[in-house]
Amino acid sequence: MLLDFNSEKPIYLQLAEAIEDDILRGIFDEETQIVSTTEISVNFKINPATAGKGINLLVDEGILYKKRGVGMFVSSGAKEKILNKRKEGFFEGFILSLLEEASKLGISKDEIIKMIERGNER
Amino acid sequence: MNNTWKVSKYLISDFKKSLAIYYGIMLTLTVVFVVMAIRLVNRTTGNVTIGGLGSASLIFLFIAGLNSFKTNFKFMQANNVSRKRFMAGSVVTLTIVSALMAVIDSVITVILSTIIPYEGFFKQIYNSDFFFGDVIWSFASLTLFAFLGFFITMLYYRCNKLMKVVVSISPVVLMILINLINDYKMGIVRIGITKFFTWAFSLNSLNPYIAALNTLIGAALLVALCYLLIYKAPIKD
Amino acid sequence: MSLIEIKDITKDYGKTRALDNISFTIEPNKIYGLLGRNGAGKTTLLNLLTNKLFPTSGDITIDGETVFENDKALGKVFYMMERNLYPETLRVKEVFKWTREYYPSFDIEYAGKLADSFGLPTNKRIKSLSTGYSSIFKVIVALASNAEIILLDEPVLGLDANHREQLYKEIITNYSEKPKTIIISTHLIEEVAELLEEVIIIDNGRLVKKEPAEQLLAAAYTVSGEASKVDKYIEDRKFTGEQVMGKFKSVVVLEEARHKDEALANELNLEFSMVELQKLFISLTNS
Repeated sequence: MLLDFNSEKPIYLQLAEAIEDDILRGIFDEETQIVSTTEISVNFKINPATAGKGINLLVDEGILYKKRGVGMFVSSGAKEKILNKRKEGFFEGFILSLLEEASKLGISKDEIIKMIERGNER
Repeated sequence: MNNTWKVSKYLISDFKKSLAIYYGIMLTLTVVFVVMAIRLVNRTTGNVTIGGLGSASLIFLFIAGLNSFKTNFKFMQANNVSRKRFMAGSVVTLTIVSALMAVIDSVITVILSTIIPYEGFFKQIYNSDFFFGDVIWSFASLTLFAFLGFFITMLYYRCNKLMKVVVSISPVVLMILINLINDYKMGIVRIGITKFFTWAFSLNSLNPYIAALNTLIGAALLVALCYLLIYKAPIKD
Repeated sequence: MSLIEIKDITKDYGKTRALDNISFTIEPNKIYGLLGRNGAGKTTLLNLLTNKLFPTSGDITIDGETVFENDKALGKVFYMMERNLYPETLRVKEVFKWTREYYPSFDIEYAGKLADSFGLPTNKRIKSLSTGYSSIFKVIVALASNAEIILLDEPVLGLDANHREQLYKEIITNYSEKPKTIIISTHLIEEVAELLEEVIIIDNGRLVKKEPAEQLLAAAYTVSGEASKVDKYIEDRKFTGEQVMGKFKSVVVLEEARHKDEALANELNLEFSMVELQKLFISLTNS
């Protein structure tokens, strides 16, 4: 887990993404406990409310769930949820802007696909 | 009230050490007195009387009063104790210590006077051997001296540099002034002062309880002045 | 509960006005940063809050009760002062013991553990502590007091980088385990920036800002690039904190980050970044 305090992105969003990354990479498996809010805030020296906000974001999305008196756990199916979310983000963030830029430059759909294949070969 | 007692608890613990040292010295002195007295008695016919241990206690409490303000005030401020609570704690402490010392001193007087020709202040002034009379009278005098010391430090504490000088020379100026008036008005001031002390210490009727009462009123006045001085007192080094 | 209300507080020292009609509320169980330049009135405010000083006018209450000469309200607050008020001849462990008399929830065991972890021998007398250890000692007493409100005035004064880091972590651990109101007055803004939930900025005795840190930082952003182009971007915008290095220029734009004009910035080849609390502070207090 890494946070960038100089980034334009708010810390709690960075934290949520960092946890998602760790779930994708298998550092936190589904149905296992993740580090506590306290540990996170102490480790990064960030306000516990900020850490809590990041965690709650993932709880709202069903990626994490709370076991009373125990702590935070990764939901089953969390990995898939994250992947779907990221794919959606990939589509909106990259593909749509790619298509927009391509139409400005007059690049056809076939050409784009060829470019992608060329990129893949490298 | 709970809090007042907690203030006193610290102040008393702060007192313990100096009190122990003081009575250590007093005990040594007493032994020396006894040894000396026995020798003197052997040599002479036995008419010699010794006294004055009581004045040492008065001076001790006066100095203790002088020293028990600043450090303690700051420590109580560090613990967010209010000024009036600190004052209440100080009054309770000085009163308890005075009472304790009055009892100890009176007991020492009783012991000494049985083995050597010793007379305490109380006996010398009021010519009485009544133990509780001695305790009450000593207690009153000790509190007066303790609060006088406490009042003087607080007065200095509240003064700026200029006021400190004024307060320091004022007794001298007052003395000179009194002497001048005294000389000019043919001893009227001296007579007045003598009258006052005769009345205050009940030297005519030799009633130690009236004297004790007057002394306690004096001590209470000093306490009242201390309460005025602690009002909005700043924290200084 | 431990709601602090500061109502129309003015404090004069002779003819100088140290605090000028300040009013705000401090809600319970948050970590606050009290920020201000030297002489802005931070310590005066903390001293007024704890009955060390008395206001020229106005009142301060905790849960509705005035703090002035009121032991009930004062007992809810522990104030770690920059100056040392402890008797010099007392030992560290004796201070622990006595503090428990006035703060009954004081945790002696925890204080001892903290002292251990910072390498502070509890047998030492107060007068023999170095500046750094004096700070450590006072913060330990404050954290162990378990008071509802803890005021820390320059808590890391004289501490080396390792001890500072350790201290910040300890503050968070302590807060997480037993939530309480913590007010940190400091000029080392960068170090504490992420620690703070709310920020109180005072300048020249006046309250400049009292806002959640996140909101404060979201209300501004930095734009940088070639000077003339930056000027074009900020033409119709409120800004502050201009920094010029040759042809390069960066300014703090005082509008919410979500209102920034990405298209214009793209066209002008400008870069956005988040404004740092420290920079925002400087621009807000540079008068």
